[in-house]
Amino acid sequence: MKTYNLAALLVGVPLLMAFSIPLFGFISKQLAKWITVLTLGFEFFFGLYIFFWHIYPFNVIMGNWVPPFGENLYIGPFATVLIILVSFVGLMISIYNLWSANHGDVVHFALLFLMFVGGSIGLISTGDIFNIFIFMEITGISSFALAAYGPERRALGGAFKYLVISSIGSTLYLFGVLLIYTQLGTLNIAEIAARISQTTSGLLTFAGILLVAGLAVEAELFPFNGWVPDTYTGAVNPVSATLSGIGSVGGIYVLFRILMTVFGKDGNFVSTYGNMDLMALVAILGSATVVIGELSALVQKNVKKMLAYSSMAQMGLVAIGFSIGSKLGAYAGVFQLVNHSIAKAMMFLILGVIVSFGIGEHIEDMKGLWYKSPFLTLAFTIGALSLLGLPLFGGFWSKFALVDASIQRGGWYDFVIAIVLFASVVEAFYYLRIVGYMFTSKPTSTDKIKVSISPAVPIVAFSILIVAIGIFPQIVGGISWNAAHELTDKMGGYVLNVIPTIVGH
Amino acid sequence: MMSDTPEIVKKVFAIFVVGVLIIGFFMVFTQMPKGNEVNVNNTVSRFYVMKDVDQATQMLDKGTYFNKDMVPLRNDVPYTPITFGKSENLEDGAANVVTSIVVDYRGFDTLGEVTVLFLAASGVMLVLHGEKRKVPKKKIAPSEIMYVGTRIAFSVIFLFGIYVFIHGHLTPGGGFPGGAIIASGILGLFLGRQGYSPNKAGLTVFESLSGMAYAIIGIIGLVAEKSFLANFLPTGTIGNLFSAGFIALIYIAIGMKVGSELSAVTNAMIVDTEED
Repeated sequence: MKTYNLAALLVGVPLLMAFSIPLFGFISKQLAKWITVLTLGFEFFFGLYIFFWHIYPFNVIMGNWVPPFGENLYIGPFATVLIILVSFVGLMISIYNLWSANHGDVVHFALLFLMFVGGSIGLISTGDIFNIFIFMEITGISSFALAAYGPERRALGGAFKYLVISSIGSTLYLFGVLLIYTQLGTLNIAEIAARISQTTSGLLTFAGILLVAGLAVEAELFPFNGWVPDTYTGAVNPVSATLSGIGSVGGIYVLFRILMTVFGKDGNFVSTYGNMDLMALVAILGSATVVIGELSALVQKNVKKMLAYSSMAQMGLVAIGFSIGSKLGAYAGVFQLVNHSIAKAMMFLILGVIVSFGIGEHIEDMKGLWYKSPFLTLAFTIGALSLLGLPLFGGFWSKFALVDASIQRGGWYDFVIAIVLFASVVEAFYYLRIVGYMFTSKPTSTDKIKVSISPAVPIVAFSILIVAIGIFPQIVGGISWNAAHELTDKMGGYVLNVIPTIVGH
Repeated sequence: MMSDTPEIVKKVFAIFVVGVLIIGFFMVFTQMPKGNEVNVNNTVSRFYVMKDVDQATQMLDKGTYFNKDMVPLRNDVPYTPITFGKSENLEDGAANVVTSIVVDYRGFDTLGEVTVLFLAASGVMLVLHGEKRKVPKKKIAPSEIMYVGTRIAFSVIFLFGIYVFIHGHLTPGGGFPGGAIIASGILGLFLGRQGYSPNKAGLTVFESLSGMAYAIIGIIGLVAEKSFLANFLPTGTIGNLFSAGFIALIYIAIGMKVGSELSAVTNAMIVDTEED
């Protein structure tokens, strides 16, 4: 067991800075926004330090109580890649916010944004099943308020819908945790994972269904994703980018940490303990999400709503990837998650710039954008091509691995190949339609869009990253492969790293 | 997409979902172990109640802790029972077991809970920001008894709240109830005085500083004891006011934070949602 307690600062520093933001807000509103940039920059560089110096996998012990007696953070390869992803996307959006967030109570907006990202990092790194609930509350409550932020009334409706569904989801999650606690008397993920076979099978199945139902709300899986279109459309664009690029990452992470590490039964393909294979259940939910999300996105005329439905469908693809249960499948899932998070966050930010210049969100409004701003058009095209999986862009490699993993699994997963290819075709249709409008049509007015430096930085960074991943997939590929190993080998990859003395059952 | 669905289909679907959930809940009861069969000794909390994780672990053979069945404790390891007012330098030192679990063994959760409350208050302020203060048309001045009574009661309630959170490691209560008691005293002031409004900036500063204090206590633990939120003070004699190390400090921070936060939320709600 390797411990590196200094990494507790990954959670401690955002909390400290969030508490101090109201004080900085007295001095200047701009300063409060800069604090989020600095804090998330710290998180990002800490993540890079953990990654490049190969400190992971390690434990962080809270309060000198060794697990399972106290609480711990476990940062393995999977957590490392997601911490870097989340803090990078958060850093970029916070730079964008320097320019975009001017309306209303900016200080509390900066605070809630910082805590949303900080809470997601906590969610990803914690090693305690109840602590996950606390961080779900933190990310949940901050995202309700963020979704309600903005000058438009429709934000309130979307935020309220999200509040109701997400609260029910976290209550179901808590009930599932409680059922597991009645059986094993512990909340530590590693200990539960080692002793999961000692539970009553029927109770475990019901607990599993409750956990899946609760977590699928954040992970945007059908039928728990009714909030997605309204909330994404209603919220201001940086918030939609945050929910899509960061919120869903946390949801998917916890869902598969629970299914594969806690409930998982090792084998060629990971399945779960209990009367029912929950991995198959999630595969079915994921497939349904892909089909429904893509078909709904196809008929949308509002670009923002289209991005929302597409986001849902992409999360379905990620869920399918993990639920295949093989190492290659988990690899495809992690890779697809990274690609989706970067590309979708960038597209929401681009839409935010476009809207701020008085151009609407309707698909017709995109006509002739090339003549107004070649920069935004190129960046949007890069994002779209990555999402639909064209070679030389990030999305190609993950979709390729996804199809490859489905072929290896065989059986009814042959059907999944059809779904992935179908999704790509539908995505190609609706994204290329927008891109086509942007390049070919003549605009009605030729007012140039001048993008200032603060929104340009994240858009440039995201598009360079997408192309870089497309050309050198090993940037993400190597650590994704380690993450896949951690997920599919539960004793060696997780449990024994946390509690070395434990006896597997 | 969903708006085209007929009403009857929605209702049938909703009843179906609720039915499945209800059946699930009742199926759980058939599988739950009976009350007298539940083995409480087989939980992590067994070690907390014995108030010494290290010793309790030694009293089990290596690895046997993770068995499903109850494992008898070994007799060859000496175990000194804990006496109120006598035992010194325990690993936790709080007389209140709940407090020692909430603030010490699982202190990280509590830091999260404090943040949840903070975010809820901030979210209320973000959403209600910019709503105009509406002056009520009908002014009903509180009676003389109310005016004098709430001011007297406020001081008593305030002191009682402070008492509750300072004695959190000895008696039932702690930071959250103590803070709520203080906020209820402030609520009394709202009732007793027409147009009363606390100093908003003062509340914000108080709230921020006490929140930062909690996080800084955690970081001091990281520096002094090499672990975030570790107890860096001597634990003293169990039952004394000055015992249990940093628990009292954390509870003071929590109590001040919860008190100022709930007062600020009450203020935002009362001022901003008055009907005209």
